[in-house]
Amino acid sequence: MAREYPISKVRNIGIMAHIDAGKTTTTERILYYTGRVHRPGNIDEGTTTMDWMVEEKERGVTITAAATLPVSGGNIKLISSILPGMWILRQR
Amino acid sequence: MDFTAEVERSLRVLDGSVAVFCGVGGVEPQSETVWRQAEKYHVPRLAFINKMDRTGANFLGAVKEMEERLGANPCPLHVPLGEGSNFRGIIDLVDMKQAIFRDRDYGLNYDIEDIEEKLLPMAEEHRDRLLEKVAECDDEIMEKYVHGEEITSEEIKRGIRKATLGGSFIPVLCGTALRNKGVQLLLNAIIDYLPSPLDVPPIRGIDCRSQEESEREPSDEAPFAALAFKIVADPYVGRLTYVRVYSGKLSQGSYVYNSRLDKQERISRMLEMHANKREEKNEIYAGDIAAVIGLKKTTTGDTLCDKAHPIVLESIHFPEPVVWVSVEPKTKAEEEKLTTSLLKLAEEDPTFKIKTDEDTGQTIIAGMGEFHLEILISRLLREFKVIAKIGKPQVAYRETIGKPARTEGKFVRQSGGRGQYGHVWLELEPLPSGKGFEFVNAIKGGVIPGEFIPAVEKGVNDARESGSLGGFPVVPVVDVKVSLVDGSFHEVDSSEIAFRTAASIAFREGTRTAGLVLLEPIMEVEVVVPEEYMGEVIGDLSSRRGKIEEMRERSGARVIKGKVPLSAMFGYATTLRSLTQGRANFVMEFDHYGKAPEEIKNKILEK
Repeated sequence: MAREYPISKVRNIGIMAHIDAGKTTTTERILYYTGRVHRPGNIDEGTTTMDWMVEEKERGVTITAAATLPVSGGNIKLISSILPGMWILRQR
Repeated sequence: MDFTAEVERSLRVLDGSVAVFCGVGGVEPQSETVWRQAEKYHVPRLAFINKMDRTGANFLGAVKEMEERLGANPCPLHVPLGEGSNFRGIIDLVDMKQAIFRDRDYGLNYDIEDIEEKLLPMAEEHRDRLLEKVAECDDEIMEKYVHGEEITSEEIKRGIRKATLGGSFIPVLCGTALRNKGVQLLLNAIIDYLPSPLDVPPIRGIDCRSQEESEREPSDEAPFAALAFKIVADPYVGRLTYVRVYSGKLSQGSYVYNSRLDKQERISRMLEMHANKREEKNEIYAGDIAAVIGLKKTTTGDTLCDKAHPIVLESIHFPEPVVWVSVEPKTKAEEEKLTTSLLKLAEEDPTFKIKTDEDTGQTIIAGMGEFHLEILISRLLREFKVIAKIGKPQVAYRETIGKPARTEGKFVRQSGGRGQYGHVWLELEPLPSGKGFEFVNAIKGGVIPGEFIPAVEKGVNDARESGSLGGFPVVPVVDVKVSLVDGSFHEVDSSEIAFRTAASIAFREGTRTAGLVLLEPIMEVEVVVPEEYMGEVIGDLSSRRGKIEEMRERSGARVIKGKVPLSAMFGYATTLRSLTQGRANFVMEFDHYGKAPEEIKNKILEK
């Protein structure tokens, strides 16, 4: 089995921020735009995808992934190809 | 911040990062901490100024704070189209277009338009500043820039990418994630400017055979090398080991070599982890981050590699815990459950330590702060359903010595039969703070045979780790250099255990004559408070033996920064809330171990 995507298209990135700066909301939007979730979650409703531990939902802060994208520690892979004038983003 | 470990290991395995700042709050204390960590690992960054729709949002103010507080070289690629309730979209300075977002579909679709005429002069001005910064980092663009030639968007993008990867500047974007504006442009910027695994320097390590520094290219054809950076006990599949593959590839069912353990382990399955679901993989490749199942012995920080090309990659540094608490199971039956649960938690979190108090037999857990332990305890009680009594949090003290000392240790038993004979002279010297422990063998002329030297070092370490104050948790003696300078041996009666014991005796005696100093963890504390409460907060910090180091103003509030001993900070959140009617907040992180005052030392000695 070969690679699905060339290594040059892989971005291992993290999101880092102060507690109230909007890290989780930003991450939720990224997941939504890259097709990972059907509807972005909302912190106040306790429906965000990233804040999955009970503690986190109660306290409203991200603990497991304090500084990163998905729980893996930053495994967001953005796959891009060019259509006229815009980027198409897909996450693996 | 109690989650230093999580941040450290993430930065260690990531190639790039996005720093999100609040458009109103700007650069807040915690952002500063994480920023410094990212700098340590040379992780290329983008900045996203969020919450531009909030009243009081100030894009250029936040950019300026990045310069002043972080010492960064920020370079705006966007400017907001209006601020606060007027925030409508984003002006893109690279393409010189404006992006207008729709609310309907969470901003999935947006329109690219020509910049409104009345905003054009402002946009031109900012674009010129951008071009200047890009030109500074790229000779070709500089050439065109000084000659007033047209520079294309493609050229600018290439220049920005080069400057971002090289760390010359930080591209700054803006938007509001909550109101669905600007995050798509952030995604574009991640692709345009942040590195792929090919763009970062090859990973370095020590070749196990030659013991020399070696590199691994980010290529599927190179020998396999990966770093295990996180262990998670998963309720469904068991032990998950997260790995970052730096070179080569790995197939399901194959064996990997753990270079620390000198052992092969079999990979039974491999998963790609998403926020809340997982995808099975047959192969993983250079640049991938994945979770593998089947590794039993591998722990956080271990290198997994090809046995034919063994290497030890640079590991991850984790700080030592500074707070501890006792955990007592309610019944005898709970004891085993407690132990297994704690081991599971410790496996996941390398800054969480478990010890047993030798005097009382109590189980002690230690972590990076009150909040850190609170979360672990709550998981213990809730997730693992252990019924236990939890003690009060206590500070982890350490010891060091005040002055040099020369000390003798003898362990001799020679009364019939085979005896014991160990005899050493040690020299103890204080080391600068944070240097830990150093052992030097300065034996000349074989007065102690070489075979007993490791036993002497072990004996010193035994005594060093149990400390001389006798209080728990183990108060290791740190920042000390021990030289083995003299001694004697007996042809028949000398043994490893005799020398080990003699060394322990000598070290213990030595710390007494070298003037024992008690060290306590000192925290860096930053409090953000409205001006009217400033006096009370400062007064309270001073009564906690705090030293105020800095006071300044930020977005209408006062920021007080200082160093306070951790032992005086327990329960501070509650006090601060009542002092300021909940209008202040604070962050605190471990700074260093400092000398504790006499009265604290006496209190500990009394115990």
